[in-house]
Amino acid sequence: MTSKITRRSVTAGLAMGALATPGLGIVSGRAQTKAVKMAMIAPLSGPWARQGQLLRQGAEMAIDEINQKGGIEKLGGAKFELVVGDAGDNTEKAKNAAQRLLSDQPDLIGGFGSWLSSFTLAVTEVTERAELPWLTLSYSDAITNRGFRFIFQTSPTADWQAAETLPTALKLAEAATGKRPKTIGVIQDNTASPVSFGRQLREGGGLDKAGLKPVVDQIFTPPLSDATPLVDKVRSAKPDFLLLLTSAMPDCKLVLEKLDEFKLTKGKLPLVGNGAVRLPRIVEDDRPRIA
Amino acid sequence: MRTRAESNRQRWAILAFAVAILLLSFAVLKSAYYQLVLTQVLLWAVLSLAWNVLSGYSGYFSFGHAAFWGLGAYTVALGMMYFDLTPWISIPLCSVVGGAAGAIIGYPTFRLRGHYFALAMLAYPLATLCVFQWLGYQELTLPMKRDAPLLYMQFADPRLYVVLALGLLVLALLITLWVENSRFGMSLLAIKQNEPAAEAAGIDTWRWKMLALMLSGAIAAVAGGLYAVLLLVVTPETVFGMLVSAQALILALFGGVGSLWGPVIGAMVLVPLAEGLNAELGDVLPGIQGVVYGVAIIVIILCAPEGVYWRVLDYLARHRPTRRVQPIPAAALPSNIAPLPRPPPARGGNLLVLRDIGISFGGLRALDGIDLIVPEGGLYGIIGPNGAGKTTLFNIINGFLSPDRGAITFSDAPITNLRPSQVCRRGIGRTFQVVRAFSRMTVLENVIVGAFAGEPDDASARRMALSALDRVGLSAQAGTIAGGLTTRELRLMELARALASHPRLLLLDETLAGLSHDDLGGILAVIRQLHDDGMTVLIIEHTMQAMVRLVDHFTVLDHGRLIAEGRPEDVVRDDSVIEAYLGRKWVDRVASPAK
Repeated sequence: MTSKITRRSVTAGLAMGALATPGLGIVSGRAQTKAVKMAMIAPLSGPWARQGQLLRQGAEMAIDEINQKGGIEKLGGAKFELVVGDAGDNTEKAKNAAQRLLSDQPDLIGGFGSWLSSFTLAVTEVTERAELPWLTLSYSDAITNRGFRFIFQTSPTADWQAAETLPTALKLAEAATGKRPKTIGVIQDNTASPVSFGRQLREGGGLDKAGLKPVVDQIFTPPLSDATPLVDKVRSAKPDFLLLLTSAMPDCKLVLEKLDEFKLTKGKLPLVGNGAVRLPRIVEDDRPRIA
Repeated sequence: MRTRAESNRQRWAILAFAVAILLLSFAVLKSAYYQLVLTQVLLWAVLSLAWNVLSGYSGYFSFGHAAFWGLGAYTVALGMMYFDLTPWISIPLCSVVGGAAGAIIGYPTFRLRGHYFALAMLAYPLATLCVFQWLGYQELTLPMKRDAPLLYMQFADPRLYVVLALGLLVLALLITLWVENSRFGMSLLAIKQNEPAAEAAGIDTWRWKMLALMLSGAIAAVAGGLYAVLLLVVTPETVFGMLVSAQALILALFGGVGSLWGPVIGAMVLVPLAEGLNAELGDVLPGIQGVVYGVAIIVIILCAPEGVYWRVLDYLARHRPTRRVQPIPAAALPSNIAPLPRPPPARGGNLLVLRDIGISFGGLRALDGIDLIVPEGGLYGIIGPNGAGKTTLFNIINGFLSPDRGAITFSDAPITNLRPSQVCRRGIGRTFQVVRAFSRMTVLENVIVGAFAGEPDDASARRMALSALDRVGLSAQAGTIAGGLTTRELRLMELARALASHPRLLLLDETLAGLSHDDLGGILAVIRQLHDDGMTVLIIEHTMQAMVRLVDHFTVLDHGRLIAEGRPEDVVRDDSVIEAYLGRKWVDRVASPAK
């Protein structure tokens, strides 16, 4: 499911969504023309930096648009201001960034981030205690299972995705090939989101319900250095379609290139993916191959 | 080993440090963010101190302390998620988990040394990381306890975390101080400088290394447990990742390896530096913080290769020369010295009996069917040309090598295949062909290490060492660093180290080699005096003249075989001995001296 929704439009939507959150009512009375500060914490360095940059670009575009149109009308034309924190490459840095932003900027009205669900979990441990509304598109179930009151997940959770995706994917695959798929191949990394997605598929009975037999089931640890062994298994097992669940762009690209090299693209093998597959760079570069 | 006054001073320093941190936390730092960073500084310092207990003192570098840290973090997280276990209980429990992990890891890994050990340690956290991913613990969060936050260490006031982490750090500092000041630390230092010598001097190196790793693992796991409480989210990458192992190592290397304060200095400087760079540069020039951090470390390592602590100490020492290690004044010695217990008077029995000893290295028969009997109180010499197997014989007696066949009994008890430290404890002391000194310890400390084998408490070991030094006439050099001694002094020091363990039998391996004529006389006098006091001595020597004057029995080895034995004056006239030493031609010349 290479979704048409790009990261940009999602983040723009997020920024708008912040206005509708309940915490804002309190602020609006005294805000007047003071800038309305919104936090973004995302990985701007380390292996997930690319995703963080895209989040930031999206947020800046959305804010520019609102500000150029005269700011927030209901607040007397108050301008939006983005405050950015780098979540780095581990949860400690992510939590520090959250604590720092909260200490430095006492007048934040809310925030969003932080791509990787581990980072989001760490960041929201801080924001929840500060009662700061937080939006995220990380979709690990753990984020909303904690009983927190100030976290808003805009993506469906992994369990839900897994349960809802398969019928749709099956329909897509059926439409593409003309017959209902019987077998499936899964290639995924072992980061939290794909793992909870995969858990629903395998142990939650998702595959059984859809009447699918997994003929390839490969889990790798990022970063992937060579996709040949994974794709080779796909080639020899010939599943009716392939589910690709990766969280980092380089891994995703490696798998796609290898699929292309093995002549499994261009309609030969229907491919369904989420996570990194949706990144603009992948969609732009690989559209001819995936299509 | 520190004196009592010095260790008291260290205790005051720890107290002052704790008060300073509390002041910093409660009076200076206002923001919750700085409190969080301060807590992290303290926790990383604990991890680095834990690493230092093993690697700093014993020299066994570990690249894998993340294994303990991570196990601690997961113990707390899993305990709270599945058993509703409060961290107040699970964090102390981490010490058990960490200690057990240390034992499990140490058992196979201490078969390796040097770089091999370091690389093997690297594997443990990486393997554990995969195990925890496989178990499905990609992301654990400590459940928020809104109704009983204090019971579950979920404080609203960040200063309480500082207090907890500080308590842990003070505990780690006191443990480190205790290690430094006891035979534990001394034994580890001896292992670091010369492991075979430590083993031969009666140090059970295996036991101390295992204890060090278990203690180190326990401390690291407890710190990891508190880290989980602080961060509230535990992922395998964060707690088992390379960064954690590297952090432990870098902080200690930066601050000063093998010192009490080094790891603390490292954490106080580097952790805030890294976080500050992250905060200031992370969103402006993403990634540059890593570069600046790396450059800072490189610069410091270039300027202070042994770490900031030692650099500062050297600087202070140069400007306050009176504080240097001073030689112990000779006049002060006698009052402390307990008389060295003399070996029990000769019973005339056989002290050491070797039966049919044989060993081969590949195709080379180094020793073949050696029988040797040394009576109690004897002064026996082993001679033979180079490669005859003399040192190999010593290595078999004191346990460095296991013979392929044959048996050794000492004082009527079998000692074949015992470890060197056990052999030493049975009463066999030895010196080496090439002196194996602990070159960065003082002469006194070198000898104290030898005294541990026979003395249960550290104070009496010190007295015993002083007495042994007195006996070989080296009291005046007691405070000198062993690296600066002459060959004669080194030989005497090694002799004193062997004596300090109350041996009944002394194995002296070419003790006279490389000495001038004057020095020779001095050492011969010491050996003769020992013999007169009832000590049994077995000595390997090349210097024939000296030997003939010294010993009362010769054993001659050649090509791994015993070719002659008996009284010195008989042996030197034996044809096979002359042939072995000088060749066939000389046998003929001795037989017909007229030519």
